[in-house]
Order: sequence, then C-alpha cells, then structure tokens
Amino acid sequence: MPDSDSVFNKTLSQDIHAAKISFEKEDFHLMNILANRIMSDAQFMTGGSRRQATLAGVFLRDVAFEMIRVATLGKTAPIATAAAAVKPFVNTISESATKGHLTAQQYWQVYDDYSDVVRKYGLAEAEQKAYSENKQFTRSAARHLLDFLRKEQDLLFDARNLLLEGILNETIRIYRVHGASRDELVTLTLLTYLERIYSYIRYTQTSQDGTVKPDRVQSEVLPIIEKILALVSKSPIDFEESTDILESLVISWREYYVRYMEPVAAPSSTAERGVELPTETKKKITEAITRELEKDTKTR
Amino acid sequence: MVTMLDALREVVSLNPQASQEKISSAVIGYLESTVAEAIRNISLPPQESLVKAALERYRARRYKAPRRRSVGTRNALVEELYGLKSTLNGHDYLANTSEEMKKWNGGAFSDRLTPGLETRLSSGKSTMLVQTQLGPGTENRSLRKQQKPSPYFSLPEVQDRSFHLIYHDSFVGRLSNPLFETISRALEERLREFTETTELDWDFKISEESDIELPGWKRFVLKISVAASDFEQRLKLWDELDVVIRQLLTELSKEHPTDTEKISDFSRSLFLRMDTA
Repeated sequence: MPDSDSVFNKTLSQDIHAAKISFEKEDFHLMNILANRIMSDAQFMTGGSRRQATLAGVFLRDVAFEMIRVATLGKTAPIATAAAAVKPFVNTISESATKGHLTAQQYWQVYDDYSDVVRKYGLAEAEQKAYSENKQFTRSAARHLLDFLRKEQDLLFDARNLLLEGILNETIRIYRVHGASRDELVTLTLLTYLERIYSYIRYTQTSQDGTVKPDRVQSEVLPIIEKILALVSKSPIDFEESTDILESLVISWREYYVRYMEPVAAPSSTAERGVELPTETKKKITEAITRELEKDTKTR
Repeated sequence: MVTMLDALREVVSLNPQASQEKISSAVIGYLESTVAEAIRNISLPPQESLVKAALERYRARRYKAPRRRSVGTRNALVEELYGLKSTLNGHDYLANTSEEMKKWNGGAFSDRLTPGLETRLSSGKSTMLVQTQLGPGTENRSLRKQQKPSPYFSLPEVQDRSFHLIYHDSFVGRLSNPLFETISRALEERLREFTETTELDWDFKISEESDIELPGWKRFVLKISVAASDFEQRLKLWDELDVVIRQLLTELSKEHPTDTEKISDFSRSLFLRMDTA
C-alpha cells in the first residue's frame, strides 16, 4: 500500500494538471470547477499535502475568477494577454505545490506580485486612465473597515445583514484601482473565505423570526474575526499564522459544501412579512405548483 | 387535489386581519423559495426514443397552427423543466445511465452566484458586470456542460471560436515589462475589434524571433491565420490589419509621449506574417 503522502501527491498533481490544461485552453469556468476540486480534495489529505492543496486551490480559483471577470468586460477584452501575463505565476504556484515546496512566504509573495498584474486587467478604461497606485489608501480603508466589522459584528445575528459582503465589496473595489500591499491581500483572502462560511451559517441557522442562531456564529465566525483583527495589529502580518487560518477556513468551507452543497436564497422571514404561512399550507402551495406544471407537460 | 386557489384561501382564512398586500407578499416570498423544490418533485413525461420524437415532430407539421404551437410550447416546457431538474438535482444526473448521458463529456456549472462571489466581481460599478455561473459546488459535478436529455433537447452547441490569440513562450517574458504589456493589451483589443467585423475564424500568435548569428537582432512576429478560402481576400485582410495595427501604435505613441521612441522601435520590429496556405 503506497504511503499516504505519495497518494495525496498523485491526486494533487493530477488536479493541478487538469486545472492548468483548462487555463491553457482559456476555459476558465472549468478551471474554477477544478480549483474547487483541489480545495475539496484537500479535506481528505493530511499534513503538508493538505497545505499545498489548499494554497494551490485558493490561488487557481482566484486566477479563474479574475480571468472570467476580464472576459466579461466586453468582446474586445484582452483575455489572452491577461492569461499570458499571469501564466508565470500559475506555473510557479503549480510547480511548487506539486513538489510540496510551497511555503507560506513564497505563496504570499507570488500572490502579491500576481495581484499587482491581474487587477489592472479588470479595470474599465476610465479607471485605467484615471487611477494610479495608492496602496496606503487601501491600507487605511481596510483598517477602517475591519474596525467597522468589529463594532458591527452583532449584525451577524440578523439574517438580513450583508456585512461581510459589504466590507469585501468596498475593500476589493479599492484594491482594484489602487493596489494593495501583502498585508491587505492576506486580510482580503481571509475575509473572503470567512464570508463563504458565514453564508452557509446564515442559510442554515436562520430562525423564523429572522435571527441567525448564535451558536455557530459565536463558535465559527467571531473567533476568526478576532484572529484577523489580532493579525493586522502587527506589521508585518504573520504569514504562517495567516496561512494556518486560511487552511482551516478552506477546509471548513468544503465541509459545509459536503453538508449542504450550494445554499439557495434564504427563505424570507414571516415576521418581516407579517403573515404566517403554516407548514401544511406551504406544503399545499408547493404541491399546487408541482401539479400545475405537470398539467402543462401532459399530452392533450 | 389541492389547487393554488385553495392554498391562498387557507392563508386568507388564517390571517383575516392581514391586507391583500401582506398576504400576497408572504405568498410570493414563499413561492420564491419553493419553486426549486416544486420543480425537483415534478414528474415529467418519460423520454421518448429518437424515432418517436422525430415522428411526433413530423406529425405536428400536419396540425393546424394553434395545435402545432401548443405541442411546440409543451415540448419546450418539458425541455426546460428537464434542464432545471438536472441543474437542481445534480446527483440524479450522475445516476442516469441512459446512453445519451454516458456519451456526454462537458461540464456542469452551478447557475447561482453566491453573495461572496458577487461581491468579488463587483468593483463598485453601478451596473452588475455579470451573473457568472460560479458556485462553491461546481467541482462536484461530473464534467458535463449543460446536460439536457435527448430527445427533447438538442445537443449543446459547440462554442464558435472566432478569435484565438496565443503568446509564444519567447514573448511571454516581455509582458512583465509595463510598456510591452500596454502594447500587447491594446493590440489584442484592436485585433478583437477588427475580427468582430469579419465573421471569420482567426488565429493569432505573437512571438519573438532572434538570429543566432546576430544576437542583438530581434523581431516580433504576429502570425495570422484566417479561415478565408479566397487567397485574394486573405491578402486584402492582411493589408487592412497592417494599417489597423500601425494606426494603433501611432495612437499609443501619442498617449504615451515618454515612450514614443520605444513604441516606434516596436513598430519597426513588428512583422505581420499571414498564413497564405
């Protein structure tokens, strides 16, 4: 029986290879699928292999996402040039992860350099012409938003909130036009994956009265927010600790996927609407819709 | 059998003080969340063989227009519902052992944009860029694109590839230079703009060539291949492209006055090579 490391390494190599092929073919939707797959497979791995898979998956997913974003800018979007420009970074991360050599330091260094290149491809023409690098502003805004998160974190118990989404929205749009230093990129990545976990919690833990049940938020979200706040209080940020947190967030996210697959929009709160729909009535409504649709599919 | 009207009457009777707006709001709110489940539960007509489906299509041609339309509408609805079921019930598709399923080998994607993904797409613009089909669960599908079971559905259309540009390894390194990146990016945009108007399939490759006997000598080659059957047409397109590209480089020189000389050097070193075979 081959040892687990070689088994994991074989899986990781093949996952990464598949993702690289889809990148070469500019099939970025498939690349996104495969990057998710790498992160999913990470949960079945242990030790160093899990770390390599996590980082490779996070990076390749980011690349896929950014490339898709560039492609959506229009028919003349320079997608081939963007892909060629990020190719060296894809190769570096892929090769290092496949060999099991990807360290936290190296990862964030490459991610920093890659981000500086890729973000410009996602800008509108007006933004390209008007904005220049201003990483200090990004730092200032990010710190402010983290402080805002700390003050507003009770909102996470209200199912209507989009607090993490809103913070990410602001931080990312600022990063795109002004750039960001490595510390902010780390924070951004951690918040991104935290938000994905919180989405599941909000989806599964929302009560009829529109509140999010506290247990999971208190045990899985608030401690991470505290850790992120503690991380950014030191400069430079501790990359090893950041990467440990990132790995646990990714694994947790994939575990949520195993439980719930893709969350759908949370049902609206009856308290908000002021009208009660009992369970039996809801069943009847669902059945009525099903019957009506079936009627229309029958041959007359 | 329960109808929607019965269910609505029940809601009204349970909430006699509520206004019409509140009741409709509550029902609509619930409908939004339950449609997916209703579609999952629906039992659809069994898939017919290809022969039977073809016979039905031919038979339908003899019908009068209203009946033909209703048959067409019904089939379109069934097709759409199968598609929705497959999207909502990813695992059901993995269990489907029909021969048509086994032949398929594309990719299936989530059609839901999670709030986090939506956020990452947004750069503060007022209009939504795109509803991409990225979800956290996309890797768990077997690699199939938009599966639709025949015979109600046609095979997925192969995406027309009218433009393809690759950078040879000899040139990729140049892209780390901001000026080369700017030129390359603008070049690609202009090439895409040009090819959009032709409705032909284009293949481009950018490379850097050097001479082993003259180490300092380099040139950049834009290799062009176009699916135009007429040799004369290809020559004409070649000329037009050359004009377009030189014009672009002139524009770039004006936009980047401090790099005028470098852009001119690039222009002099750039050769367009059309595949005339």
